Amino acid sequence: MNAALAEQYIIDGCIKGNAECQRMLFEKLYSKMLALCKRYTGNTDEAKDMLQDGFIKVFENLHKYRGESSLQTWVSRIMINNAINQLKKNQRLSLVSLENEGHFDRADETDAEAVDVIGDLNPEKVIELIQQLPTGYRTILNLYAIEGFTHKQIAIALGIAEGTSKSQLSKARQLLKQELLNHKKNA
Amino acid sequence: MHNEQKDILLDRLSAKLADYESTSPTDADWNSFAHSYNKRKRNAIWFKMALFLLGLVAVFAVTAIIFNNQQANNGQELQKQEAPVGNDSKEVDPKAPVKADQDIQNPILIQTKLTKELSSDDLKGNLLSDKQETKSTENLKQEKMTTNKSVYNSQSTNNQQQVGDEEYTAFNEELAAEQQQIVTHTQQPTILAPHKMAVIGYRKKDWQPLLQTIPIPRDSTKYDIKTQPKSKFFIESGALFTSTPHLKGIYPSNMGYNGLLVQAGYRIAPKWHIVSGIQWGKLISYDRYEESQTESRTTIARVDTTLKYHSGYNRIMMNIDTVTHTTTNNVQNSYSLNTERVWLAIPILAQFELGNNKRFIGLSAGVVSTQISSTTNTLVVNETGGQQRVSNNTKEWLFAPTVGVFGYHRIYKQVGAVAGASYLTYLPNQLLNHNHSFQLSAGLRVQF
Repeated sequence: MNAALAEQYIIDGCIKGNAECQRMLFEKLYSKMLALCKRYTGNTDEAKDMLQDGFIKVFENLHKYRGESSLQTWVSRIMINNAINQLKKNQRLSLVSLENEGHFDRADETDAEAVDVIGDLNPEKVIELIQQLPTGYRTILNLYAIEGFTHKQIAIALGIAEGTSKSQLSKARQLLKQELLNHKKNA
Repeated sequence: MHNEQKDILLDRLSAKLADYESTSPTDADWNSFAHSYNKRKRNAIWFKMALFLLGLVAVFAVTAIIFNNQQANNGQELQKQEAPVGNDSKEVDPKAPVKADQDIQNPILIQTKLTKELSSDDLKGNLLSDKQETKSTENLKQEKMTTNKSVYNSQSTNNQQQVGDEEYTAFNEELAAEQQQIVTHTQQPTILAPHKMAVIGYRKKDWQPLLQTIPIPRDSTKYDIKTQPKSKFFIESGALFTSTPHLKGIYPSNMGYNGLLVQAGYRIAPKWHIVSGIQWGKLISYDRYEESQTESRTTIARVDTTLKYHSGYNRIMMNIDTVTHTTTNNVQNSYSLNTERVWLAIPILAQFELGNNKRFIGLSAGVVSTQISSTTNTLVVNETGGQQRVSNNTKEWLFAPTVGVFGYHRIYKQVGAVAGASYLTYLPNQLLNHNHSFQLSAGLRVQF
């Protein structure tokens, strides 16, 4: 059985409520989705709760999956939307535009140093550093840098102004770079 | 891709994390997820059931309001139709002076009026307000006036007064007889219309229960609530939800089934009914995610035949049902295990119904004896390395006391709403994990 057929078999089984198929899908996507949820939350326990909630939504809506994108992309999108909704629901997204503060982070000579640090660190440690960012910064950094959203898309998804998204990303970038450099200093 | 200026720091971050996979799931992770997923599914089912019940209550409330309005309108129509000839007023005011013939028809009005009159010092103008008053009323008035006069005056009564005394005595006896007919225990009679009253209680004469709006006939001895059903045939159809007990060792566990109920009743003799019907439903099951977890999608077909005997006025009935309840739990796992079960239930119930053809409420109680025949098929590896199918048959008897409540309310002509709820619990046994079961049903009945 090739991969596409196997995936279709799992999807059909999940739609029918087959527990075995549900477990197969859960195990197949768990690691990737846990990494995604960790990036949006402050710690692993919170990420696991978010992941559970996301998987419930996946199983409840799997019959709507039309195969227009890969299953992993579709599930990732549900997880991202779930993360955004949970953060909004918990009122942890306090996004204030920094446009007027006039201190956008710009690329400079310290960037190369921070890039080297990223290269040296394992991904789990990089996620830990991202988790230390304030929720708003973290969310926008994830959406922009890793999920590939544009500022316009972020503004629509979070219900904020495009400028706010830009300023938050700038601040997030600045803080992350600072954390990376501090990590190198302390290492 | 972004149109914004390329940012090497963010690009590197993306490359590092985009395809990163965290730790693999453990059994505990899966079990934790399965637990919360099942809990959510169960909650969703309960929520739907609660909505269904709320809807049911709302439908009944609206029906009751419509019915009461119809009753009130009917009462007004009746008043207009039965208003005395020559009376120009369109509506009858219960507090207005009432003619003697109306008084006789309505004991409550008689009592109210008479009490008022007897307590009044001035007897003038009450019964004389109508010029067409009857002779007996005239005598009554004279008698009452005489009662209030001195002994000296009473000595001067003539023969005509003597006739009045006799009539008054006779009238009093008639009134007392009327009053004794109805003794209300929970609620005072309410006058809905001059010739109708709502009664909840007992008729003292023979202690028969009453729960309805009854017409008050001119002849008080004809209080007759026809309890025997007039219809020869009825058909009922509606929706039902039944929770089922959980069988040990069967995964996924069945929570119950939603389905449809169609049944028909036929009066084979004045006191005997035969009711037969089918229930069809889809099992609602949830997986418990054990090692032997499997999928189970089952339909239930249930044939129910009841012989009902109406013992008389109170409708104490003995039901003898045979329920062929075929549940096929096709449980298939990696060992190709397959279990089929057939339930044969024999309920013996006593039912008590209170009401009439228009509406009634009933209670039932009894015992349900159930035989569960199980056939378990397994595939075993034989000596030659091939697989062999082995069947194992067992039979178990279970006993369960049960109680239920049900009701009928006529909506329009021969069409009425029916609803019921019942609960049963199996006595301790080795077969079931969960011994309780309840059923809710609601639908329509058409009588012919």
